[in-house]
Amino acid sequence: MKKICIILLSAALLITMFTACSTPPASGKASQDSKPPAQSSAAPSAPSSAEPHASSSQASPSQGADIELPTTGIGASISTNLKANEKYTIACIVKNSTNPYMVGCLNGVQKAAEDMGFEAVLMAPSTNDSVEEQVKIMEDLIQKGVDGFVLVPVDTNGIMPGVRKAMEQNIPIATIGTPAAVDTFLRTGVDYTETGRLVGKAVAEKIGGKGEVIILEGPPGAQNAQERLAGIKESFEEFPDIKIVASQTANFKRTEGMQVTENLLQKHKSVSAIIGCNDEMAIGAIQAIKAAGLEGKVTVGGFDGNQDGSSAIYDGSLYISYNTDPFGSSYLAAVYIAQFLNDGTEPPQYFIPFPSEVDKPLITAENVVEYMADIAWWN
Amino acid sequence: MNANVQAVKTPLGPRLRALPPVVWMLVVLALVFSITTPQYFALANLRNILVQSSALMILAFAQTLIVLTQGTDLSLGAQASLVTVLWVSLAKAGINIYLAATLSVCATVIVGMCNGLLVSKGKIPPFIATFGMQNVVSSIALLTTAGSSIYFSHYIFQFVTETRFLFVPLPVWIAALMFALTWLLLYRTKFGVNIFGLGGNPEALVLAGVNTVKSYVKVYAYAGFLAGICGLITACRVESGQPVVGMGWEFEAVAATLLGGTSLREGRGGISGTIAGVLLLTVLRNGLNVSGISAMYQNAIIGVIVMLAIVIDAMVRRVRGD
Repeated sequence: MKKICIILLSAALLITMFTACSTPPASGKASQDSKPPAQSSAAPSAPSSAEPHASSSQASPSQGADIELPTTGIGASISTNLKANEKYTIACIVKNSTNPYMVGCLNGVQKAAEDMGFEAVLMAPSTNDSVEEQVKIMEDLIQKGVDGFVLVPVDTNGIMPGVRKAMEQNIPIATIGTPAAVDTFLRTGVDYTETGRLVGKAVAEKIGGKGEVIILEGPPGAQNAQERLAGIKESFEEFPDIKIVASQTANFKRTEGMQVTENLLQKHKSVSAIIGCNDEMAIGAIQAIKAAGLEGKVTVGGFDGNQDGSSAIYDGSLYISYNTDPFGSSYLAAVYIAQFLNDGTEPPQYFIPFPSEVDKPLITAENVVEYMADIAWWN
Repeated sequence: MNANVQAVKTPLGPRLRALPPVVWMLVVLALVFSITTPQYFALANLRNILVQSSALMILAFAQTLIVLTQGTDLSLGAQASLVTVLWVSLAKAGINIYLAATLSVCATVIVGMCNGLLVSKGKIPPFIATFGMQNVVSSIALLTTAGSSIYFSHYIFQFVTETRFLFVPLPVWIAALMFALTWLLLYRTKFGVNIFGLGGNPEALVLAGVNTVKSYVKVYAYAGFLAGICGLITACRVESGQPVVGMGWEFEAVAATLLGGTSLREGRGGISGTIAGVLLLTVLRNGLNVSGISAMYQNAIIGVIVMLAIVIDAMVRRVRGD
């Protein structure tokens, strides 16, 4: 007994040593890997926010504009003239059934099914954000014989066993937000860099191209958050008089957004604008601004166009947000799949950013009433 | 001659009736699903069900042993997650992949030993001790990868999930092997006798001069070993290390154990019934997925059927008078 204890304990020591020493070389190795790095699966996502993706480099700002989509409109007003030739079964598998973004995705495929005349199977793991269960659902549905998948994978690499099985059977897969580790039939959802660029530019113009700006970042590990941040910074390059005085993470959470802003406002009282990398953090910032008595003096920008964000735009406390539109994205994905099943039409490129600049995704006081009535994906 | 036939025949009737009710429910469910969905009884789907159940199966064997000692191990799911993460990160750090697998399983064996010490020496109720351990272990798993999942490219992952031996995929064989090992330990060794003793009458064990601390540590360590194997299979299934993949599996394992007829009170039951319990859960989930029923209903349906199965089981036992 004692001997076993000693052996095991020394094994434990070894493991600790190895893991402790492994961190620097591991990251060095990762860059040599041909495949994209594993994405965060643990980070709980605020609506639309923790949707990391690996290959943003493929998307350039002009790409979205050149493509003629098989749909018109965005959000709840999206529509298509295409019909399904047969009663295909298209499955939509999302990360969980509680996040409004995920529910938006499911509803988008459902709407496409009603408009086009195919059958939608809407699934989510019973344990939130379980990639293992997503793989199981894919396997089960392949057995059942579905014709296409619209996927919001929990994890780029973890979903691969399911993706491979579907590709062996030539079942088209469209991913939204998080891509799979290989190029599937289609990838859609927003281009995060573009979202950052558009909102950053709008906020910069609103404050007259000069002044101090605070940015509330997403979780440090999440790639979508990094891309959005890069987009914001890129947009400020045109405005040399704008100075980013602080850029800190608030993990996509409202309470953290409030706390971080409270702290930063102590130091930077003359700040002209705050950009939260999602609506939740932006709303947190608004609460802190109100508490500091700076109401009306600070322009706030956010992303997602979620329910509370839209209300904040309506009452004037939030200046702008970006409609990340899970409803429209999954609708578009389902339409592409049905079109492919009809006549073999492939999408013009692997990654089709949606909604992109041409789809007019920005929400401000001018269009918020219309947005809330006709477009919002959470309705 | 006649007498011989008689001798073979008589035990068969009672034997059939002695099958836990969960087996009958399993048969009924399979029939129902095969009527509602035509593709259900395809060979590929049966294989699918077996592969999907193999990881939970191994974890449920571990849980059964713990339940037999009148405990529950709530850290098993977290241990499985830890192994997926440790294995992949050790391999990524340049350690030979097989050595990395062995080391990660060692880690969960140690976790199991700590559980055993807490329960026996620390006299902490297993529910509390292992609940604490669950949080510690899942934190370690999250910290190892800074919260994200971790990926390493190696042929072994696909090899394990896609190799078939005699038409049966490798994970199922591993589960079968673990069953054989656990069965031998439980019914053919002193260790097994002690497990039943710990659940039935620990005082008697002490009086008989058995070191109960040692027995507890051994059984929790063995459960850790099984959780480790479960983690290895899971890592192969998702081809990556996922720090939260096993969340909630410990409860599914408890459900499977109870469905299989193992009692939470006294050391009664066994691991054969657990197989049927796990299959019932997997068949249910698979059938609901194949029928395209949304996750929001799935949990309710599974909950009701699990409760029904346990109630029926209790009623049957009362009628039988045991």
